[in-house]
Amino acid sequence: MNIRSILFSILLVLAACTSVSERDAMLAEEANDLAYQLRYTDVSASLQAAKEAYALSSGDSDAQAEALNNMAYVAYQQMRYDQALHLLRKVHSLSRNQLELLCADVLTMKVMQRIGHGKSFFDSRLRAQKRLQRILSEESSLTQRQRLRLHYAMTEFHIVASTYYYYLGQDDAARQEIDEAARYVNLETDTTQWLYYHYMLGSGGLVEGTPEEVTIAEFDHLISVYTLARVRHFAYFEANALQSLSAMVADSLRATLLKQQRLDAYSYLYEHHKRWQSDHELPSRYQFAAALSHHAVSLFRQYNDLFQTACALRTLGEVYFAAGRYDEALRSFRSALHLASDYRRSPYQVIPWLAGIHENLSLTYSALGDKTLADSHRNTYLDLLDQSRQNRELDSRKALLKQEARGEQIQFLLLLLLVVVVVVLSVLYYRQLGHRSRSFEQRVRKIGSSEDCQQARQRLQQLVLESEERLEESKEACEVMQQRILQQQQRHILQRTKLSVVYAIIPYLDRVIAEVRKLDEKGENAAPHLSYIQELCSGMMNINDRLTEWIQVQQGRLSLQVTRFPLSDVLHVISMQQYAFSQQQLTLEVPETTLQVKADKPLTLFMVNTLVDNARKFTPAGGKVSVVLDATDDYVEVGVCDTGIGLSPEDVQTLNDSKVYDPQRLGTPDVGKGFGFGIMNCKGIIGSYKKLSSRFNVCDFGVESQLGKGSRFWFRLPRVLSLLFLLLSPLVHASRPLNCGELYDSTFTANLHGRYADAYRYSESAIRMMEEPVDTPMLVSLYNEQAIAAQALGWWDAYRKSNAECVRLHRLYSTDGSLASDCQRLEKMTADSRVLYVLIVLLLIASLALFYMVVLRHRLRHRASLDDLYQRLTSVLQSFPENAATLDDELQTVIRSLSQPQLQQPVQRLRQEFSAGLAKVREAETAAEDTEDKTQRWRFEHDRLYVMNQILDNSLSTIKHETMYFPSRIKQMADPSKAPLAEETSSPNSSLLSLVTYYRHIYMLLYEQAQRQIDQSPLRVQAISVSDLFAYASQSYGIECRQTDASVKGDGMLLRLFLDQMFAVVPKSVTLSAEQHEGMIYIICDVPGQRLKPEELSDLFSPQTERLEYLVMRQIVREHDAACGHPGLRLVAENTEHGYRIAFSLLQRNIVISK
Amino acid sequence: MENFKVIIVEDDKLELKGTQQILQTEVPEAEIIGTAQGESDFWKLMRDGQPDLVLLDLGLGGSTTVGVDICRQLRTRYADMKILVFTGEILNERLWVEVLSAGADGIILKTGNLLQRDDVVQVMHGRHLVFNEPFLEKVMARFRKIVCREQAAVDAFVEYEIDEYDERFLRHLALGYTKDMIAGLRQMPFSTKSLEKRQVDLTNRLFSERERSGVNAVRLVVRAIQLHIIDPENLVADEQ
Repeated sequence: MNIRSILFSILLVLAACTSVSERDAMLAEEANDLAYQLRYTDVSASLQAAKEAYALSSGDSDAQAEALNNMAYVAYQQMRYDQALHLLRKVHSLSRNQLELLCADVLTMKVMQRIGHGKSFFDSRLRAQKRLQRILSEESSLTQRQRLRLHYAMTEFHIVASTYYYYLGQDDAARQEIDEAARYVNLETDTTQWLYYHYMLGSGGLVEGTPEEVTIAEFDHLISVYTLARVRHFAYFEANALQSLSAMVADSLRATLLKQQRLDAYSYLYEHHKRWQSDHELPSRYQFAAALSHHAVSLFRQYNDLFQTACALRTLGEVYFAAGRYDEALRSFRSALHLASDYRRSPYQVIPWLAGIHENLSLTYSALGDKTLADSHRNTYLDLLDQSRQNRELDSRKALLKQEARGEQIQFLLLLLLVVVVVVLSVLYYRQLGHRSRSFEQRVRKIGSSEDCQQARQRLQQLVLESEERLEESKEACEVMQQRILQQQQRHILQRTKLSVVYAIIPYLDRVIAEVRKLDEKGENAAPHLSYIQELCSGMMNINDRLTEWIQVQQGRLSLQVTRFPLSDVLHVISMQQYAFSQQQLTLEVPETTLQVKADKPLTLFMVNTLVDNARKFTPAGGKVSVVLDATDDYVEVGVCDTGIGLSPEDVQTLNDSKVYDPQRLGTPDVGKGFGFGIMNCKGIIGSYKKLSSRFNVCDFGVESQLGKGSRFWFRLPRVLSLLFLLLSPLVHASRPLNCGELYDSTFTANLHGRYADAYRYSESAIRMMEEPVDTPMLVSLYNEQAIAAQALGWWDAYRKSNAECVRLHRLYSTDGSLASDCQRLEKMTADSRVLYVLIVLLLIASLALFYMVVLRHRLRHRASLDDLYQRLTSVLQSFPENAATLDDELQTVIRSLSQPQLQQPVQRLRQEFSAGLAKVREAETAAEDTEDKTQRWRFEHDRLYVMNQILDNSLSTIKHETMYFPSRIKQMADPSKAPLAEETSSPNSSLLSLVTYYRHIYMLLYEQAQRQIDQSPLRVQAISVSDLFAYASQSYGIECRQTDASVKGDGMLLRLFLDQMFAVVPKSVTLSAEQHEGMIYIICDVPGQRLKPEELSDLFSPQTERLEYLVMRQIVREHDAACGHPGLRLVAENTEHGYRIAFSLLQRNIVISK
Repeated sequence: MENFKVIIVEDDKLELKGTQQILQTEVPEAEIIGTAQGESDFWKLMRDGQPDLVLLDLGLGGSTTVGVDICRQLRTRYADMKILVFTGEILNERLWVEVLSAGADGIILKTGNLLQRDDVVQVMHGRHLVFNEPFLEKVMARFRKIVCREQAAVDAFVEYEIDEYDERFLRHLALGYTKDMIAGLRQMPFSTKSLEKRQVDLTNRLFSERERSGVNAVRLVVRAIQLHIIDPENLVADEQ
């Protein structure tokens, strides 16, 4: 026993022998005991007793201190924290009694824990610990009463600490503290602390085990607290136990478990609370839980504990909420808030408690559909969380400081230990070095089978596979594109064929005009001319009929390639014309956009391009052409504005209203006429969209213009809303990655606009997508938005999950910057001890340096080179394939640095292996790039043909619609039976002539518009082996072919198309043969059986023919004729002895054509 | 005019009828000894009797340009026979040239006033290059274009004050000569430096003030071609 403890004993003895009379002292002691006993039964009585004790013990500072402690406890229970702290400070100034001071410290801890002042909590705790050490060292000299007081302080100390850690989320520390408390709890000597201890265990979070075990254990604790508190009239614990039991019973899983395993206790509780069950419409489980809560609320009210009453009201509210009785729940929560707001003016606030009430209210309002109030409470809730987080940060910092202080002592010991260890290790290391050098050599030799090498090899394999896959894919894409271009080429030939039929009418028309003119001549007999005109008109009508038939057949088959695409794709191409514009001193403005449309992409490009081109043509130098976008929910309007010469009102009307017009007549005569056919084509395209489906009803085309001021040409396409695109895009563009930021924005916007289900879905994908490193503030916000969405949707489980995650992360996330000052304090505290550390460390370093210089250095140097080389080798392998380009050089360098040939060989082998693999990859990549280039070129070609065909379609259909009725009208007017009527007028045939002339004009105009599209020959003339063609015929159609070695000049694709067309109209029993004649190869198709009549033969390839196929064949021969620059190719049909034959000639290869 | 024999080669019956009518009413001297709708029919007719005039359609059935070949063969076999080609190919100018090269005496387009008595009379009197009016109009339009272009070249020389050295300089630039190489030409007595000056000077003459910035040799040459100062079809280097 040391001197200090002797002095302490004397102090205690002196304290016992004070000047007050013994009777008063006895009374004061009894009053204090009473105050202590009553503090969980009746706070007012307890306060009364404490005040009495204080009055009785004037002069006895220890008893006064105890009385003050009891008073402070009551103040704490009544949430008058400022008063409680004031009383506790008074204890410190009044008494030197360590036991009472300890009690005061513990109570201070309790107050600080509740109001969330972590730093003060730890200060008090530190003081209490120091005091506790001193008292425990003197425990044997304590009286029985003092010992009880000490046990009270100890249990309280640990339970409060446990509570503190529990709320901080440090469950292990909390459990440790409650276990410590168990040592001092005793039912016999101090029932209240026993109850307190068991209540704490029962209230949740402190028992370990499976959920079932935890439920049962907690229930057992609570039920024992309840029964004992009931018997002994400890209203506080009875109510607390009921409140926790209520929460437990409201949980269906836990309730079921209890009914199975603790039926007796459960029924006992149930029977006892039958009279509390007021609301009989509730399901029985909730009814029971509500009854328990009601009882708890009533007990707390009697006991006059504001804090716990509010807590019990919350529990009651939550029970109602879970039962779906939101009105009742709201009433409970509002009562709780009412209680809380009564006390809100107090300088100290219990923030988590308040936050909880606001959260409950937010949820309830949300469930009731009052979004405004729900949001307002949620905001208050988040603000309060923020406050409590800051407090908690202080806590954790304090804990850190404390840990460091304790750590320093350990550090010193560790440092010494370290010195010893370092010395020992150095020696061991030295011995190891030799061994490791040998093992390194071994490892270099086995580098080929090392794990790094295996992995690098796998990556190489992967690379080879990927590059091969890419090649394969690009080849497939190329083939697809080839197929598509083939279709377009075939379609193009068909269009050309039809156009040639259109052209066949023109000579007839010219004949009609010539005949009509002759009618006017004197002395002519009109009758033969009129009848000839009649015949010509019939001929034209016949051709028109054929044409109509074929165009209709085609229309059924073809449609536009409608896709959804971002307009920026098209505008990007347009903006590439900047240079051409600047050459003409024009400005081209093309906007950036994210708008999406649903349309045919190549045609849209064609339209914008046409309009921009026109604008350029008609805008003088210094002017501006701009593409302007305007969007509504339904459509996007693409406008091309210029500051050019403009159009007259008549021209604008013509462009807007007429379907057919003469482009040469538009525009101002002196500046420049001639719009070309572009505008007509654009209008045609818009027309075909409209015919496609009602989705395209928004499509439109228009012109606005003023002479001298400029024009605006515009068209509209249906818009695709971006958000919809966002949702569909994983299907449409599987490759496009969405980032979390975008999704967060979508979530936020969706919440803002009340689309909560969308918001919830977006936030889920965003959270799923979030990768390391996690952006915590964003994640917190995402969980918050998700919680808001779930709350609004009434998905309570989802809400609880998201909110819990939000709160948890919220606590983790800290941005407090005041840490530096605390560190400084810590540094100051530990500066002295560090001087010592530094000295030791310096000494250690000096001796290590000596060891290194004298012994270690040489050995290390020897090994370092080997080590370094091996490291380089492995790092080269590890960073493969990033270093694929330099791998060979790197390995070469390593090989050169390895001095021993037996070490070089394995690396050399490695180098060869990887070089070969990489060469393979490069080869495949190059091939893939080539193929992709080719695909790209074909795609361009395809789009060009596609647009051409589409426009031809429109042109042909316009020709059909606009000129159909003319021949019959002319025929009618030239009817000989009506001729005398015409003769009566002064100019008998002028109306007929003007009609025919007008017809020819329109017809020629439309023909030229179409003709312009086919200026370029679609042929690729090359050498074709006739036997290849024959092979195609026999493979595809089973045609018998005579052997030939001839080869011709032609387009393989078109020649195959020729055969396709031919075999569509002749029987399959034909024979194909080839004959050479005067530089030509005649391919002859002999058709056995019936011979054709002379009319059939002569009409076979004329527009009067029955089948379009014959005309396509004629067109193909004609294209060859034009492309080879050698007119005179034949396509004839003639009868033979055994049937008839179709023969066509092609230029023989290897004959040079001279002109 | 004396009577003469005609063969009409035409695949379209309606058109054949029209042509026959024209001959019968306007050229009574013509005796139609036969009509053919295809190539083989025609050669068969030719074996039966030789006509003085062949009215030949260019396209017969599936063979749309076979007339060119028939015309060539006829001219080879019968040097004195008159051949008048009849064609609906009013847009295909290339074919007209082919037909004339094959030895036809004239081309009658199946448009405008069609075949006239005058056309037939002229051919029968031995005139070559007989064309009907629409054809002549088209030829004239082409001819006018060429003449105008030549005139434009003359105008440009005057307008932009181009001398022979300017022309030579631009022509050689167009041929890809560097200024050093041009300075080395016999007929260019200038140093590289003065050629550079000349280029700047030319730029100033050929481009307005606003257009001048960024004009390089290529743009200058292109401008010269556009203004017909140099003729892209006649780009020949001078002797070194």
